[in-house]
Amino acid sequence: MANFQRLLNLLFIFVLFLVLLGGYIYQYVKGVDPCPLCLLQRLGMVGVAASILMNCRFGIKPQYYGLAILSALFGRLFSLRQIAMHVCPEFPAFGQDVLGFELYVWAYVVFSCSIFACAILLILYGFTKHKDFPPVWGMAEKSAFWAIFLIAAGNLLTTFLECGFTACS
Amino acid sequence: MLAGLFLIYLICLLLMIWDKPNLAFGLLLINFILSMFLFLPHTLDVLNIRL
Repeated sequence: MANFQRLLNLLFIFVLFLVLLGGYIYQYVKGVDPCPLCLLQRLGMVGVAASILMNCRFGIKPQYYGLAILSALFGRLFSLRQIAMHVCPEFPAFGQDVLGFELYVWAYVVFSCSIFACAILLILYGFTKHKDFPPVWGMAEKSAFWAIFLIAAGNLLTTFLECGFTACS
Repeated sequence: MLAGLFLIYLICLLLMIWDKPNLAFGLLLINFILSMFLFLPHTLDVLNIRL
């Protein structure tokens, strides 16, 4: 059960990494600079990934899931804000769509799925008999760490180039 | 300012590597609160509150 939960945590981090990487590829291939709200959504995703990474680094604890839910709620709030801004027919959508939806709609789906995943992982944790998970810091965990570290560093650099020291709003 | 929030996440990740769970957790929580307050106009707009 403990190994299964560790595996799910790792999977969660890698999925978020792929979503963030997809956003980056979209940004450079399509040449669309991310809007301030898009950057806030990325901030939320990095927050969820960093919180789940705490489970891998220090052992699974409910407070780390709680932090991930808070970050997901933060990101969800801003994706909802962007959906609300573009929902009117006369107000054009921002950027091009991917598989029929704009990226901020996908972000809303990702944050909602993150909250759902945290709930499932918390239920699994609740049913575990021995709750004292020793931290495992193997090759997969290190890869997940560096993946999130690099994507956060990349976002820091591009956000700084786009917005400088301002709030970018 | 927005770049600063990403910087805080990078510091949190480095604290994880340096084996400081409480500091990393605290900083992640502070970053969340800071983000909510820094972008308060957006947050209030979503909740349909006008000051």
